[in-house]
Amino acid sequence: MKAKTVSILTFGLCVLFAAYLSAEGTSQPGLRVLGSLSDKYEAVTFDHAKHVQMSDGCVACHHHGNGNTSSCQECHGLNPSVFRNSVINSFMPCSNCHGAFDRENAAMPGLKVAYHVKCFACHRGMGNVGTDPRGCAELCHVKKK
Amino acid sequence: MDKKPLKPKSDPAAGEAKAGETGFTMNRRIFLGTVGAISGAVLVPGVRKAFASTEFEGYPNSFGVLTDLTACVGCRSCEKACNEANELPEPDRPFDDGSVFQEMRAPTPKAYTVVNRYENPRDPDKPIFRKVQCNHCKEPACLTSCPIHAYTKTPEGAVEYNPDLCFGCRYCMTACPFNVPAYDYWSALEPRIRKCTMCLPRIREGKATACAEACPTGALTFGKREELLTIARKRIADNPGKYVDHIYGEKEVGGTNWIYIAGVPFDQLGFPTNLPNRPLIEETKGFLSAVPVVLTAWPALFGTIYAALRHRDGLDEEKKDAEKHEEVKK
Repeated sequence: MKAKTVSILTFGLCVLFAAYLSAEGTSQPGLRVLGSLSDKYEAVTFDHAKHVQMSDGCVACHHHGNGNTSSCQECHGLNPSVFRNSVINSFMPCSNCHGAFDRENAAMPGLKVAYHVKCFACHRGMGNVGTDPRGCAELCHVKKK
Repeated sequence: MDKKPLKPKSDPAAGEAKAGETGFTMNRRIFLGTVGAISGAVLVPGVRKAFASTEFEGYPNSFGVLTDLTACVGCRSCEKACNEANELPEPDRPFDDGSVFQEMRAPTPKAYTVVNRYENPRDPDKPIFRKVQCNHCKEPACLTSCPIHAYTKTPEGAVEYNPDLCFGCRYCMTACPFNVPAYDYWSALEPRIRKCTMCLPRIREGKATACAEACPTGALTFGKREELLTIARKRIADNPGKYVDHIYGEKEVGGTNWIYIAGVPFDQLGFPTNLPNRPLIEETKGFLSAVPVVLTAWPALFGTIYAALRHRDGLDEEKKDAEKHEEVKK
């Protein structure tokens, strides 16, 4: 009886631990609210999980070994003591590099441009997106009243 | 006296020698006139050479905009931002109206920049959009054609227009190879030329142009012209096949501060591709710089020769008269 209880408890702990690990392993943003243009439009709700399913991996949108970054640390806030955790959880926001446009560093696109370039890579030509001014309000930007 | 007939008749020195026999005043006048004429004539080639050898390389560290025509999606955000930054009147059709693309537009006094749509031979579903505005030439034809210096090429890179000096001759409109300056025809009291200012006040505040700041796709990049050229070259090199290997405005008409890269040849996008790689003023500089010299030196030179000949004729007449008198006396 005692052994049974111990094994159940052990099993329970294992399940909890596995759940914790798997949760940690897929700890990606779900819905993101992108509000950097909210002075002109309503904030954009971006379904990250959906885009993960549809894209060909992270590199479709993120710099990942595509030669545009020089080290892992540029985007991952790496910490040797908790290496795995920090790889998965410590992303730097895009705006760390793609912040407000700096005219003295014209080669670095600002956040707005960085976002749009990635969005248009797939979305241009869907309906009026990227072919007519009306397209802006069709898929992403809701006009502010 | 034996040597005299050997000298050509038009040689002022001959007149001078002869005049020496009769009076000093006329001698000096002819001498000074001749010296003036000769030095004027000598100056002609020197002046022309000096003008032609002045090559303006453009202001270092001047700003510009790189337009990447492969990135523009025709959202017209730049038109809207330009309208707001320059406090221009409300447009006839709103800025999210795509029907404006049905015709080719040029900048007007109410719109310093306009976006036109072109067919994309590579992908018919994704048309090419081209933003049109003043290209801010390094040596602008509007500036050199202006008789009253109403235009200034500023060290920031912008070609600035001063409406207070302009008297409305509109030479700049015909001189511009890009058909940019527009005229306030409807304004009866204070008509003036209207064109893109490159947001000079914003540049001086440390900002980018309003259009470049508004552009969401990176089709417009504001920065130092030299850096923009590097960026343009890098984009062409890093994306083989995406771009035509040409930076429009790097060399055209001596270079413009607004430069372009595109995926199809520029002549298919309405760019004038028959322009020389040197400033348009070079076409007329030699002639124009000769005008004041010709107007001053030639009258002096030919006037002197004429005066010398007349003077000698007069002396001959006097001599003949004297001989006649002597014969009569005899």
